[in-house]
Amino acid sequence: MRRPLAALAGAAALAAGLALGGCATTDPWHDARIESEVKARLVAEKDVDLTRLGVVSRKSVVYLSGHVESPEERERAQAVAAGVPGVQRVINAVDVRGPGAR
Amino acid sequence: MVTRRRVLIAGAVAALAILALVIAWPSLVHRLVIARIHALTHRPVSVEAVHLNPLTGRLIVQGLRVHERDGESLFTGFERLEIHFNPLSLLDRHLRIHEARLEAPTTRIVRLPEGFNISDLTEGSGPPRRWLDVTVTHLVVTRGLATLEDRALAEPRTWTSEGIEIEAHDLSTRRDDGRATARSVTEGAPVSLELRRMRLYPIHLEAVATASNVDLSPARLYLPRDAALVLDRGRATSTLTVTLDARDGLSAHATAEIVDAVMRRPGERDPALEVPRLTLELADLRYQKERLEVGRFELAGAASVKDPRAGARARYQVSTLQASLADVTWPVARPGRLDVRSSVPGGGRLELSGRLRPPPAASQLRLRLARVDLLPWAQLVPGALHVEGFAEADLRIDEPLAPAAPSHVRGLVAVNQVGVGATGADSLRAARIEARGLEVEWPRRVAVRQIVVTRPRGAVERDQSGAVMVPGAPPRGEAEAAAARPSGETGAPALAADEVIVRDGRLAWRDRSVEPAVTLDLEAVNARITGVGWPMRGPLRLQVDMRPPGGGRAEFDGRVDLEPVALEGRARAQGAAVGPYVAYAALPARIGGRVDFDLAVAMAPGSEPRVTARGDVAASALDVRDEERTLLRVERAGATGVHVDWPRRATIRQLTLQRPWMLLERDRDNTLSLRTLLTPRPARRSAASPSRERSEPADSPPVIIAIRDLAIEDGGIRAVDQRVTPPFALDTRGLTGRVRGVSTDPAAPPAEFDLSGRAGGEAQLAARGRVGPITGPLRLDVAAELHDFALPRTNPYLLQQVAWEARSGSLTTSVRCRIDRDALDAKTDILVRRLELVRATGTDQAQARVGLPLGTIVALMKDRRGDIRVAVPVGGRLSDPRFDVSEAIWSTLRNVAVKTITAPLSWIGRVHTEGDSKIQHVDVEPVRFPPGSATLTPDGREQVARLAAFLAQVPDIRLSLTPMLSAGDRAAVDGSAGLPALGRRRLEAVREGITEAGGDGDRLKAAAPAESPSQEGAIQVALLDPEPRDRPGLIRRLFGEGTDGRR
Repeated sequence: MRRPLAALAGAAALAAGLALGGCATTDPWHDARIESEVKARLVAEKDVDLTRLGVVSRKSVVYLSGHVESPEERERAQAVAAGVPGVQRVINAVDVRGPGAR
Repeated sequence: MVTRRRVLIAGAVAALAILALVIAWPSLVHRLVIARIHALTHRPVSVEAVHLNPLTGRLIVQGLRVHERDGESLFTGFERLEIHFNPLSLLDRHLRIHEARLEAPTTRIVRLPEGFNISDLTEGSGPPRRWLDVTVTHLVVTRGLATLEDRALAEPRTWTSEGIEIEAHDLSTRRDDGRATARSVTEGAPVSLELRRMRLYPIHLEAVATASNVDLSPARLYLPRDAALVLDRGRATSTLTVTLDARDGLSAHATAEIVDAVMRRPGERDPALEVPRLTLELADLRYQKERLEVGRFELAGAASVKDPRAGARARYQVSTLQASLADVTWPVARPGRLDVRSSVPGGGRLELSGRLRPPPAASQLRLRLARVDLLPWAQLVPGALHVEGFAEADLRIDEPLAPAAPSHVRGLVAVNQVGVGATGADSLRAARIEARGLEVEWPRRVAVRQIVVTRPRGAVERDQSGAVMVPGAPPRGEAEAAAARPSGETGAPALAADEVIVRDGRLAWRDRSVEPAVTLDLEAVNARITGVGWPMRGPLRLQVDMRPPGGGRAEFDGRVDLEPVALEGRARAQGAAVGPYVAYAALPARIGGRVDFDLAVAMAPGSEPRVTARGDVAASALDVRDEERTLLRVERAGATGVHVDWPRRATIRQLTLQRPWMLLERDRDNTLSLRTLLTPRPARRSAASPSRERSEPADSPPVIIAIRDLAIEDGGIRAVDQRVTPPFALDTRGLTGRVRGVSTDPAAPPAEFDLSGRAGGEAQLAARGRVGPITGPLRLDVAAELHDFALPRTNPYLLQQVAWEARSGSLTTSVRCRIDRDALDAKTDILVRRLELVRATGTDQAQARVGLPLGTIVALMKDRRGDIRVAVPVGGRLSDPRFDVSEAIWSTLRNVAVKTITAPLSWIGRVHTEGDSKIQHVDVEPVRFPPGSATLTPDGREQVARLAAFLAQVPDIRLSLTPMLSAGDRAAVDGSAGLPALGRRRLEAVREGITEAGGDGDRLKAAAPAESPSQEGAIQVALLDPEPRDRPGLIRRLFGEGTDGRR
């Protein structure tokens, strides 16, 4: 029960973020750079599996989506995204599904 | 008177006769006794003296000696026999002896290889004729001695019973109340005999004989010299009760107790068998009219057995034995009953019961074993195998008894907690192995209806040299020797098992010949094998299912031949994990996922094993990882129409990849991570390598893999380049399409593909065309289109290559590329919309290669709508060492750029290029004025009109206008004071002219007047970069100081 709720909440947050981002004045140049760098940094984390997480940046707000195997990986993804220059906020909609459930 | 004389004469004669008889009586009796004894024994007889007084009834015999026939050895005799009898009793044919005393009787019995020395006395002696009743009121025997010389032994031995004392009363042929007691010391042991209810004829007696503490050690003399066990010591106490009756025969009851018996193996010090106590009881033994009956014979005792393992000092305490034999008759009237119950050395119980018949009739016996510990018996197994377990059996033997192992046995044999393995190695273990329906016809065949192996556990290992070690198998040397022997020489019986059942088995495969070492655990193995036999009777039918390593189920149902090796059947798997087998792919990657398949497989015999498989295969959650990262994943893959013909070809009719995803990463070391993961490691050299190399020659053709139809559904690629700064990352999603005719066969026709997707989230990507076989010469014919790709996503490369960034803009391009072997012919149509660039720090490669800053180039290339449309053809021979794709693209771009921007520039000026088409500089035709005039001349108006058209054509370009004042102008305006005003008027004239001609006057930038080197004045026109939007401060803030790819 907890996972569907978490997934629903994450999806709602992501949708809200995308909608707000779409309504707002965006800077593709800036957000494209943030998206690229967040993805690249997630990929560069070799001791955890964050390569497939979805990354969207709207007005310097990064939305993370997808699944990881542990809460620690989820927190790591958050920290990695927040560490990218220019990122003002991270909305973490990543779902924890446990090993082998991805 | 005559009568009286006659009487006197007769009396005288009688007197004389009596006198003569009296005188001759001793000698007569002496001779009569000797003659009679000689007649009975046929041996020399001597008697010292005989005194017989018939009147007083007294007989004395002294010094009787009966010698052997050789006349030297004494056979029997006594010192003195004195008898007192009633002579008158003879009148009624009844000899009444009041007293008989025998002193120092001696008897010597000799056992020879051909028989006893008394054999001639016992043979042929018929029943004595009864012509006289005898009654002995009192009989005394003193100082008797009996010896038995056993010369049949290899080591002759004499047994002595001495001190024989007998006292009997009322011995008679007319009464049965006689009694007697006898005592002796036999081989040092006191022996007593008590007789009751005796009658001399017809014989009847009841006897009780007891012997105490008899030394049993001499009994070893009667054991075979090569016996495995030798009686070392032991003592026995026994009681024998016998009833002998002339009519009823003999009946007996005996008990015996053996204590402290010890048996040794020849040459060993430690006792092999110790019997603290053993009791025997013989009851209801009857012998009558040559018929023997044994009512019951029971044996009970305990023994400890030495642990037979080499070097072991332990003993197995204490094995008990209870055995009974009942209802035995001879000649056989009915079967006897045998019942043996024993504990087994080392642990366990043995029961042997049934009906016994003497050979050649068959006996029916049932042998039951329970919890017999096999460990003590393991050394009896040939080879260096370690065997342990607890055996149980329920066997029926139906055959004549023989001094050998039974040859016809049926029943059940089982071993619990079995362990079999070479000493020091892991064992093959099983909770239970049970053979049902066992039929042994030794030594010809052993047949089993069903063998059930419950929870077998074992590990098969392959070491680094490639040698395989199977638990339970004999050591390699022994196995090879056995294999080399013809089957007929082994002497082993034929083995056959109708059915072998394996339940809940677990088998581990540990392979150290690969790196990293592989451990595969096959669990929950259930199997049914029919037709098992040795020698092989034909193919085996094998049905097996198991839980393979990592979970899931796998099963096989088919036929297996071992000589030669062949296989045919159906193999299925559900959810079988892929990961455990990855080490055999020699890839550094971690590969996960699960596989389902349903395949008809066959392996044909031959010098080169050939395996075929047909069916369907599906996989789910396939992923390829380095350490922890997923680099490749396929949510589900389905292959139908799979046909593998190993090692030649593998074809798939339809392969569908659902949601495949791939990470294409170039790391900071300029390495493609995925390629590194999927590049096989070099094979490890080992002792097994030479043989492998022989079996897999380097020139063996590679396996051809062909996929007729490959469908990709909803695929994705994340491309990441860590070498540039900031790093580049781009997601391509929704990849969908088909590839038809994929093959590694160099002779195969090109594959056709048609793919589409979204790059960067919004740009539509489509590609279609044909590509030649992977292993063949490069053949490619691709048409690809990309629509509305956001150019700011390429900023990492723009920064690195040209030190510019795109703030906005989209790219739409179509590429047509043909490669035939080494001939490249490509054309790219590019449409760039709303491109807006900003300058960053660093080297502008565009300026270095084209001659103009990128911003200027872009501005010049834009059309009225701000779009850039170029066609970039690239061609060449890939095999040409001078050909460089990057340089070719740059060269083409330069040519296109120069060509594109030359056209508008040619309206207003001239482009000077170097030999390699690089723009050296651009000369814009100035707007000339007459000296001192600010009025446009007709030529000046035309130039102004061209400038206006130019500005309209290239909306992002700006022009600088520089008043060039000449010496003529100075002269015309009377000095330098008027020159600035002249310059401003001329600038205004040009600006107004351009504006009037439709040009954008705001894109004109006036520069400070300058002195013209020539005599004529003019407004010099030059190209300006687009609106300067450099934001180096922001760039530095975001990415650091450098833009050369490093932070």
